[in-house]
Amino acid sequence: MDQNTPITPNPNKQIRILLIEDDRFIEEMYVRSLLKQGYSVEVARTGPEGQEKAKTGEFHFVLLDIMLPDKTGTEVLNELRDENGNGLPNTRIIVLTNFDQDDATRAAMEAKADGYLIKADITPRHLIEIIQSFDQ
Amino acid sequence: MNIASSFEPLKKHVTKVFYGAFGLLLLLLSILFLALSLLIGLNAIVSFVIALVITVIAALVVTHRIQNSILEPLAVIKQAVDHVEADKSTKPAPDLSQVKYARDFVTETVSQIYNLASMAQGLTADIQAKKAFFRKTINYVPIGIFTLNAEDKLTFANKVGRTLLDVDYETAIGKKTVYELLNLNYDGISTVKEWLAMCKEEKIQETNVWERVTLTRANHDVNKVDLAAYYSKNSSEGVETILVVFDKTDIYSYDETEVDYIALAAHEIRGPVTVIRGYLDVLKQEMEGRDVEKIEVIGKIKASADRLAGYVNNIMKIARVDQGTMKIHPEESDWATTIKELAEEMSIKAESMNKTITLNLPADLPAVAVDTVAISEVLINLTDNALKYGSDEDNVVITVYEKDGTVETTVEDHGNGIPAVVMDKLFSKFYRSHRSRQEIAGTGIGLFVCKAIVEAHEGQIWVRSKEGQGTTFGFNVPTYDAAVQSELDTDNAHPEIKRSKSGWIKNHSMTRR
Repeated sequence: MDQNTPITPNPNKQIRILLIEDDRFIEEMYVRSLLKQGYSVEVARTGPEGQEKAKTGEFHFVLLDIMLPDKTGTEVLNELRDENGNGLPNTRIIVLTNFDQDDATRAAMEAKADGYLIKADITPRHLIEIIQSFDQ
Repeated sequence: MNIASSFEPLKKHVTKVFYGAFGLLLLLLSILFLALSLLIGLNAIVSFVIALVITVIAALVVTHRIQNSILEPLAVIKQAVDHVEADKSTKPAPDLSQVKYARDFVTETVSQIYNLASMAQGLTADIQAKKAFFRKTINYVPIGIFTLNAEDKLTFANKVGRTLLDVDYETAIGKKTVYELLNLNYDGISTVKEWLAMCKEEKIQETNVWERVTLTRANHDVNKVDLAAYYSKNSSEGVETILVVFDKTDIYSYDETEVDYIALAAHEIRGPVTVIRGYLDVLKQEMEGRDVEKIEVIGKIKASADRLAGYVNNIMKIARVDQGTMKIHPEESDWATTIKELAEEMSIKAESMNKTITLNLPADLPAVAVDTVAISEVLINLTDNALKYGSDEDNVVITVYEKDGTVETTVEDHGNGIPAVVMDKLFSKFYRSHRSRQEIAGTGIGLFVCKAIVEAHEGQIWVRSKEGQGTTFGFNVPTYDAAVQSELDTDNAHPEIKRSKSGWIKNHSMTRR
């Protein structure tokens, strides 16, 4: 699929979320809550797998961990979006991590991602509130 | 004999010769006139004319002799000067044995000329040697030294300084300012340029130091440096400012590696904390309206899990304070509600120590701009200390009030107080309480970090104590209204980003909630 041709998720369809997370416990917790909320959820457990799924453009949201096997979330983000935040225009990418970035890296991510959340500081309920707050 | 003493006889001799010659010529004119007019019987006018002509011829001869006696010594002196000035192999030295007139004076003068020339050569060699020594020293020191003129343009860089430039040194001298040559980033503190602008307006002499400044090279390498500058208005030789650069990249990079290690450890702890807090919140939600007692238990576990998450965040803060890069994320916060909850929590601990906590809170306390978790830690730490060091059955008093655009919070105990000798060390990094074992065992994060947190909020922390009477710690933080303007001015590439302690979201609708 040509990544340059944006695919707009059908606004009338169920919200589709891709969770890229390698911690099974955290994955299960978020999947349980997101499914209960009525979202469609797909999971990837490595950086390359997550990147392949994300670049199809099928998802309204990509929740992206940073500390991933084989390829970090930062590298995945850099390949999905350029320095100006262009790439996958109809997908919100939210970095969902427990890793405290230094300010320089955080600033670089601000240009590309739509959000950066520390998992330990939020609950699944907060995450759903944040997802709901985005303009669709 | 010296020049002065040999000049006097010469002066007298020359004076005698001039007057003598003048007198003789007058005498000759008179004798010739008389001889021609009286002895030979010529007409008086004719006699005078002939006498005058003869006298003039004699005068010319005498003048020529006198001229030689003056010019010859001068020529010898000039020859000596020429010999000394030029390369000695190209000009001959004067031959004093050929001097016929005023030989003593000429000899002394020429001798003095050669002495002075020798001394000058010696001085020059001495100055050159000193210059070479200082140049070697200044190029040997492992720090970059730059001198700037009144336009902040580079006038000199030592050897290490030149390695910090990414342009040819010779083309930069006198042409480029230090700001064009060094790409420095200061992380929020005032820049060298701003400081120099202030100095030029207000100061005669001033010094300043900047720590942990980033120097970015043309090849994108990043050095971490400390800077020191000395400014002196209208200094001589075109040097108005001396800038010294200490390359601390290795040391500060080590600090950053240490922080990265701590960040990794914090990351590992946060994983289970995420799951614990997450499922507790889910349980609480799903049991809403059912088993009240179990919900209460879940609430208590969740509160501790929340505290644990907060402590992990503070571990990172402590590491960043140490590194000098601590950042907090203030938001609009209801301090009155927070402090009531904290006071209730601390009251449980106070009760176990047979002590009490009294909270004095005004009815209309304005919202503050704080990182609630961080500032809560400060209050918990101060209250914990007050409980530890207060008197038996003490009543620790927490007072909150608004003052001059800030909200001040004080924590007062009535214990033994703090000795005056340790008062100014209390907030220092390695301070251990004068009752050190108790301090180390405490739950607090240390007064050093408390100070760092409060100051990161642009607040102040202080202490008042009297031995035998007790101690009051206090701190202030800005009200939300007072902080709004500075929030707008903060270094933020994306002003639409809403920040919270949990992170940030780039979404306009979030800010409307």
